[in-house]
Amino acid sequence: MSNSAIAPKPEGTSGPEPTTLVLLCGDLRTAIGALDLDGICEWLERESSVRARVVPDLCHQPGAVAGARDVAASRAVLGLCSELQDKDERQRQARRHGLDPFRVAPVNLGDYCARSPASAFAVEKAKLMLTGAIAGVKLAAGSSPESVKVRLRLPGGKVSRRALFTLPPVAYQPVVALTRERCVSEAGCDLCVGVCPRDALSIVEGRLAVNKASCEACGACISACPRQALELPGASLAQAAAELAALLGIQDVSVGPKGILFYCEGNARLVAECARSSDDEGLAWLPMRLPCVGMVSAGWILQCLAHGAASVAIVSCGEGCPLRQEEQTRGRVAYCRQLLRPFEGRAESVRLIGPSSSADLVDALFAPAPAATVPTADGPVTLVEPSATAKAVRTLTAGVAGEAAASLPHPHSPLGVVRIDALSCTGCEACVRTCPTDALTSRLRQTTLMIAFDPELCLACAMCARCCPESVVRVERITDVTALRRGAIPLYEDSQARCERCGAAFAPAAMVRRVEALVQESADESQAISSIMRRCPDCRILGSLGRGPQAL
Amino acid sequence: MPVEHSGAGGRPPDAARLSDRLLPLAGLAGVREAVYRSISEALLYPSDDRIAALRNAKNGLAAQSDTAAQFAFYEDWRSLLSTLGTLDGARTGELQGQYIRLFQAAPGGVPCPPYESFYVDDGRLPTGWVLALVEGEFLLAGVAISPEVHEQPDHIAMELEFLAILCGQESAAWEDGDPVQARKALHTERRFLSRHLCSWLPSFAERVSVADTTGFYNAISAAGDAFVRYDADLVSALYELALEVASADADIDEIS
Repeated sequence: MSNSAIAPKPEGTSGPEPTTLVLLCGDLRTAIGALDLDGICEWLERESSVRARVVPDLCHQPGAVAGARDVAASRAVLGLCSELQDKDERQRQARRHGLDPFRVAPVNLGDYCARSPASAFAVEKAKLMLTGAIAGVKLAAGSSPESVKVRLRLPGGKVSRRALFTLPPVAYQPVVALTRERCVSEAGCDLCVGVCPRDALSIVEGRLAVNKASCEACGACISACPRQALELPGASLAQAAAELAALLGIQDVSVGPKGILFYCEGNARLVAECARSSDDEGLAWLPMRLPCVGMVSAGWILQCLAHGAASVAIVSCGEGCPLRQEEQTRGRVAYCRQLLRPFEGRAESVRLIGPSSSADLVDALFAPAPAATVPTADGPVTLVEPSATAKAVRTLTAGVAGEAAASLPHPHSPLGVVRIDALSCTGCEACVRTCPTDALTSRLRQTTLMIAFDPELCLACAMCARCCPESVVRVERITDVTALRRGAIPLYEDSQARCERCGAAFAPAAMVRRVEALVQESADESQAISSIMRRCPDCRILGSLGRGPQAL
Repeated sequence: MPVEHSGAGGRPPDAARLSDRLLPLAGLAGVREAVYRSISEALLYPSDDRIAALRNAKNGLAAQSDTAAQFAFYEDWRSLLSTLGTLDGARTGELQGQYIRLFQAAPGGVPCPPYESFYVDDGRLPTGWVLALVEGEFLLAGVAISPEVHEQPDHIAMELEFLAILCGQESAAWEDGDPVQARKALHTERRFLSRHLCSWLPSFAERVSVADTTGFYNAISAAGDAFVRYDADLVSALYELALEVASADADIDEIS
């Protein structure tokens, strides 16, 4: 196990809050007119676990994180004038000074706060972005041998005699790491395998296996896994949720209506140029950079709206997306827009912007903004599907009846509805054991077996239908608002058969009848077998030994 | 590398750029050899001589910190140095008692058997099969356990020492300008790490973390476990690089 300084911290572990060091580049004072950096530092330090300071020319000082040791900080946030330069060197310097590089978050204040209409607004927006980054980096699990891989690049991309004998600069890339205890691949779940664009995930001997060499850390599997069994350094669901919660929920910072802007590494420069060349009139776009926008599920979009965002935009790479996430992203946005159509103006608050020039991006982002939303969500931001979508749908449709509360069948609906043919079901509970989200649960009350279905937890993965030996389970990919409001319902109920010897309940009556029917069709000694079927397992053994309870 | 930035103060970049220091592969293999040897030594029965040797080794490792800082195992490296720094002659008795209790004999059974067979041999293979496989790897590399050392080939210290020897062979090959031999050593390292050490060291380290009370063996095995797993990844990458370099048409540069 790795040294505790950088080992992933188990969830739920109690202890003092980790200290975060915030460094702001002194050149921001000239990049953004009259930006009060000292005031921002003082404001950030109202939280006892934050230490903030201004560093001259931070953007060109990868080793400036040396200050982390002085304040015993295990995380850092860098407020920079532009996109992070020289990432590999910064990674090495962070490590050298005792920081896990995946617990260091850069924040491009220079581009995103540059053209704010007034310096007071720039200060407020900077505070918001830094607070979001701090909230996210606090929950960063850090790296481990399983969650990073070495990247060696030949200097100048050339093969040479020098390359034979010297090591190229070393950097590390994040890869997906598996928490085996949370994974239910052994029960048949393979949701993550299907979404991986590089086939880095596979089922080997019934268990999930990760091929580090193939993983490109796009994060699609992170969003697909309902058990949070997969982790990506620097990009976990918990971090993203914390960052969004901070961006949307913070009360003492006023920037007016907020928009959440999701973009990926590939579009970082374009989005930064756009931000630099536009004004934030009407809507303050708060950027969230992700490994790939394929991570953004419908639930992410709806959660943002439910927690007060006036608009959500996704900047995609279009058909040229190297990770082939365009179709998924397009489908999710279409689903959200269709879901929100009954609510005036809300559908337009979800925007998908394809590859474009910075001028087109500006036009797309700064189209007239919808009216500010009053947040009404109950509870924290959650990005784990299907709860993320279900909770957001209930919030957004609360108080709306009739057509607006109708069902929405859609190929990209993250939610589904399960139906069981109760007359043919034998109560074997295979569906309950297989369900990866516990949408299907069973309960035995005295001698009655009940199988219940909770639509808030159903991913429409159809694993229950696949494993049903009687083929009586049907799954529909549909967002049924009425079902969500109603909550869990029983789908199957049956009494237990009682042993004809001892009277104990031992199996669902329907299962006994089904087995008897199958036996009678095929076996020669069907009568003898049927009589055994009407006994509990203990009495069957005693019966086969020619003994009864009296013999004991 | 100039960085265009509006409003920049125009100061030069950080002078101590680690990226500017190309690292000789021979040197890297030498550093890895020293780490494997130190951890191996620390997991043998402690004696005054051994403890003195480990303190010297610690000073040697500390001198390589700039090299180690480039790698993801750097924090574990620092932990190892810090642990070795706590050693002194006064602790020999205490550590001997801990060693026996953890790895050799204890009421109720040995809590942390330091043998691969214990963790890997699930009874489906003939008895001693794991031992034979490990010894076979030693023989293929031209290595044998000295008769003066009374430990089985699959003892943790023997396997770590074997890796140290392979790293030494690799380093010598790079020094001699023989990339073919170096690749061979990397291949053997990669194979041994994936088939043997990495398959059981995490379980061993976990047992030690539960059973150890002084912290010394817990710290050593934790640092060793992390280092081995990071190193396995690095060795794979180095081996792939060596293959790429060997198979491409090389431009011969003047070596300055």
